[in-house]
Amino acid sequence: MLRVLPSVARSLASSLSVRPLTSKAQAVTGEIVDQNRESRVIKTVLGAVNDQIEKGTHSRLFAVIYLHGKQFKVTAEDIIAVNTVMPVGIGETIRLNKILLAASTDFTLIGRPLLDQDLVRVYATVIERTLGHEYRIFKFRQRTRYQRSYFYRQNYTMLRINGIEIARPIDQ
Amino acid sequence: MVTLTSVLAHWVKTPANRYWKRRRVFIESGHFYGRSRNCYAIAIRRLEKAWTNAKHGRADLKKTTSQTWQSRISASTESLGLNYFPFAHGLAHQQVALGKKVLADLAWSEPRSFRSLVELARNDACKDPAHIGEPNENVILGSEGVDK
Repeated sequence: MLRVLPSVARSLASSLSVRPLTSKAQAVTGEIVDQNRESRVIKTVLGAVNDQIEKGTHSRLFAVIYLHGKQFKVTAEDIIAVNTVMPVGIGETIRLNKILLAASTDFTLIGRPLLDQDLVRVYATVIERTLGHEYRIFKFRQRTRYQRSYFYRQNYTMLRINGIEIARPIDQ
Repeated sequence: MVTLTSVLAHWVKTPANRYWKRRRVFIESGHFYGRSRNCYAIAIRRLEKAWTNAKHGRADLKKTTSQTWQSRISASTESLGLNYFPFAHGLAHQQVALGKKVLADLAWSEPRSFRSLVELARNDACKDPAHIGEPNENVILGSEGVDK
């Protein structure tokens, strides 16, 4: 019977490769070593994750996206305020390509550093282009009659996250 | 009533100007305490000082926010048996580019995902001879998420 902790099983969902076994490789004489343990664990765990993806039985997904130098943790129907003027019109739908992490209740896909673009898709709609609150900069020097007052307002683009979907089974 | 030409009328100070000049200040000083709310001479001085303080506060906010994120991440990783810096270095070695803001968010809102990140970092930290601890043999890395 394989011992697969649920939390740890989540870690290996990110990928596979052939690496030497750690403690099992240096087993003392007489201990029964499962040589195919690694591949079996991978098969079991990835099968469970892929089963949820194919049947669509996983719970609500969230993703960590990278946009305009900042990272946002988003889920469907979120609104995010991006501190920039984006060259897209209001009402247009964009696809957010840089996905650092996507997860559900039962599994986590960790990108190193990014997930494959074909694997996870996140779409967003531009709903508003607006300004933030007013920042006042007041400069003052004593006894010199020097004072200046400036203000500025930062541009924000509001995006509505339409949805997050996992397009294909992982590790294929 | 004296009728003024348009040139001279420019020089006349009307009470309306005085009113609106003060009005602009009192709108912003409305939440101050005592006479600095209502007396113009005090209000304008307090307001200028408040603007200066706000400017310094904006710089400090970035620093304190970053410290808060770090302490939240640290509390979560320590509860799972790993200190902050092995955790941060482990993620960096594994090419996980999640920032402090998101990690601090995951720490309280997504405990299971955060735990898997800690296991990933712990596995990496065990390669360091100075680190005392056993690697988690259930962590198996692969090629799916790695940037090609």
